[in-house]
Amino acid sequence: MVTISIGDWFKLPFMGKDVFVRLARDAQLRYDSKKGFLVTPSTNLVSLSTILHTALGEDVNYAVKCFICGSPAPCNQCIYTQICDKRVVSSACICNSCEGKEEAYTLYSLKFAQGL
Amino acid sequence: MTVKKMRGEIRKGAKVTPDETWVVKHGHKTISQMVGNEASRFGFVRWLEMWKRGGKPAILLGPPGVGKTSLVYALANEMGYTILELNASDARTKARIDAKVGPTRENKSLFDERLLILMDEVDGLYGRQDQGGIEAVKDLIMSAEVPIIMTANSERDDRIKRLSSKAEVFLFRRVPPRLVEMYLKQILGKEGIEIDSSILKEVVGSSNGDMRAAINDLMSVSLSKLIDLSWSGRDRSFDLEDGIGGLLESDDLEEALKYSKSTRASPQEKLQGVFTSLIAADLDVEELARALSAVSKADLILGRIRRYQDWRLLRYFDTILTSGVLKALQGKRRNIGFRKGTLPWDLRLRIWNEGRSFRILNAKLGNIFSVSSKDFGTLYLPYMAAVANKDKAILESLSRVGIDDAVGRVFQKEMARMDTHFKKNNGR
Repeated sequence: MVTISIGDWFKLPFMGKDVFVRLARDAQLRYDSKKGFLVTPSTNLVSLSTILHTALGEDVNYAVKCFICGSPAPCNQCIYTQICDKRVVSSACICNSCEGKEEAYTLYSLKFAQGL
Repeated sequence: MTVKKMRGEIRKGAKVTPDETWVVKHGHKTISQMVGNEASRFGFVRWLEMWKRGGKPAILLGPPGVGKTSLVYALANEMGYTILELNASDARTKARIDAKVGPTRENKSLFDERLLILMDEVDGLYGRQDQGGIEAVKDLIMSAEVPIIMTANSERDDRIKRLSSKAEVFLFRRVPPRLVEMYLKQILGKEGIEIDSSILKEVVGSSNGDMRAAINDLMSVSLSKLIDLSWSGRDRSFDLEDGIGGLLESDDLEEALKYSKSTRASPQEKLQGVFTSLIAADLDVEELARALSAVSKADLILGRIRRYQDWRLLRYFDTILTSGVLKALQGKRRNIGFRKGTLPWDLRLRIWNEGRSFRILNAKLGNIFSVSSKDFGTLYLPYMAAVANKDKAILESLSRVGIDDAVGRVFQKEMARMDTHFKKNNGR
C-alpha cells in the first residue's frame, strides 16, 4: 500500500519515462526535481491511483489533514470511511478533536478567513 | 438501518417552519461560510483579485451542489461586483450576446458598478452547436473587458476541455462527508432541532458530497416523517461515469431508469458508455450477447430517430436501453461499473480486418449473383454459408472467383456461425 499525504511533497521510485509523463500529463501531479511530487487541487486522484497501481502493483491510500489544526485526519476511525472516496472529494477534512468542539464550524470558517 | 425504518423517531425538535427552504435560509452568504474545496476557493479569490483587463476567464469545474455558483455570487458580493448572468438562450447568437453584454465593453454599468459576466453551466451552452453560440462565446471570451466566469459540471467533456485550455481552471470536488456533517450540525443548532445521529449519518451519506442535496434532505427529515433518502424527489443528475455505473449496478428497473434519465449525456454517449462498460465486464458469453442485443435495439431506435428526425421516439430510448440491459443481466446487481474508452487494439484490428474481408467477399460474390454487395451480405451470404456446410465444393470454388485465403477465412467463420445456429435451433 502506497500512502500519499495530500499537501506534502513525496518521493516515488523511478518508474520510467512513460509513467512520469502520465503522472504529469494525465494525473496533473506537480513535480520538483528537489522536493519530489505534490498533489495540487488540479491533480486527478483517480488517474493517479490507476497509474501508480499499474506501475507499482500496489493500492494507493491518501492521507488528508485537518483544515483547522493541520494534524492528520484519522480516516480509519471515521464513521464515513466506507462511503468517503478520497479520490473524488476535496482534500481537507477535520480531525476528531476539532470535530468534537461545539464551535467546529466557526473555527473552520475563521481558519478560511485567515487564509484570505 | 435505513431512514424509512426510523420514521417515528425523526422529530424531537422545535420551531420548524416550512416558509423558507433551508438552502436559501442557511445557504452560504460569504465565501468563508462555505465548506470544502478550500484550495480552489482560495485560488479563485486570488484570481479575481488579480484580474486585469484582457486577462483569462475562469472556469469552475465540478459536480452539482458543491458551491461553484454560490462562490461566484458570494465573492462578487464581497468585492462589489455586479453579476451579469448569461444563460443558454442568451448565448445563441453574436447579436444576442452583444445586446446583453454591451455595457460591459467599458466595464461600467449605468450606475458605475463593476461588472462581471457569469456563464453558468456552460455545458448547456455547448449543446447548442447548431445555433452558432460556441463561436459567439469564444469571441466574447477573447474580447472581454470584464472578468468572465464560467461554471461546468463535466471536466471530461472534450468541448469543455478545449474551453478550459483558454481559461484559468478551478476544480471543485465533492465535499467530504465529515464537513457536510459539520455544516448540517450547525444548521440544526440554529434551528434548535435534534435528530438521531444515525439519521444524520444517512443524510450525509446519501448526499454524496452535494451540499445542496444534503441541506434539502436535512430539511425533509426535519419536516416530514415520510422519507426515502435514496432519491427524496430531488433533482439529481449524474455525469456519464456515475450515471452509467449506477444504471449497470441497479437491480431494479425504476432505479436504473432514474440513473439513465438523470445522466447528463447525449443518447449516443450513453449508448457508447453502456457498450464499452459491458464488453469490458466479466460476463459470460450468453449474458453478454443478450446485453449487446439490447444495446443494438436501442441503437436502432437512435438510428431511426436520426434518419427520420422523429424526435418523439427519444422518450422511449432510455426505457428500451435500460430495460433491455437489465433483463439481459437478469436483474442481478453486478459489479460492472463504467468503463470508458474504445475496444482493445487487437480486437479493433480484428474487427477492421474482418470487416474489410466481408466487404471484399460481398462485393465479388454480389457481382456474380447480380445483386448489390449490401443485399448479398444481408440476404445471400448466410444461406450460402449454410449450404456450404453441406457442400464443401462451394468453399473450394471461392478461389476460382478470385477470393484469396484471408477473405475465404471469414467465409469459413460465417459457415461455422451458421452451423452453430442450426445446431442450436434443431436444424431450423
